[in-house]
Amino acid sequence: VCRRAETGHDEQGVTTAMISVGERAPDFELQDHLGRKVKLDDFKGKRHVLLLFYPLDWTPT
Amino acid sequence: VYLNDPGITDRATVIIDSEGVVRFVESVGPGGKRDIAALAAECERIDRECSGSTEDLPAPGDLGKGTVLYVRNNCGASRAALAALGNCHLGGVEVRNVSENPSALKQLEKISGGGQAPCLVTDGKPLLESDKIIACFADAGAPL
Repeated sequence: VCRRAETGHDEQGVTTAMISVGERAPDFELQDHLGRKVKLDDFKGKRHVLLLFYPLDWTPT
Repeated sequence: VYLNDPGITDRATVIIDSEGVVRFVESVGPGGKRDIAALAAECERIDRECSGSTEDLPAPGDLGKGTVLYVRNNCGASRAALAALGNCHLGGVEVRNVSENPSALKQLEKISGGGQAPCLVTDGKPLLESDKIIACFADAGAPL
């Protein structure tokens, strides 16, 4: 979802940008904090989704 | 990107609505601070849009009568289990602190064969390790 935080460059030097408000989120599958696979599509039409990336600090994500 | 790209330390916050549209997005570096006020404002906006009945919302989970969570003082794993219990809005779970209640410690030792806490006891069966206990709470408290 966050293609890369803020505008920057990936390893190949390609400019990448953060997703914006109003854009349709691409479908994705991520591990949650318990290591379970969660797909955005699982929530479609049911619930809003809050993604909170919390790297380091002894967390897996 | 984050999980497959070692070295990423940015902390992102994203809200995607049930139609798949991004409603809020923010990312800060290791020294940054999340804009909690902006996040709360968007949550309140979303809340106001939800004019439907709350009857459609899933009822809080319940692990069943007689479920006990044994915890101890000065224990990060116990604190994590307690926080998960609160966050999952589960009913029917009694908390017993073995650091402050000697009889609770004896019960725990009898059930689990040791004094390790946190320990979740459901139907007389002990579940040790906070990550497993938290996963149990998450499963019980957040049905899709």
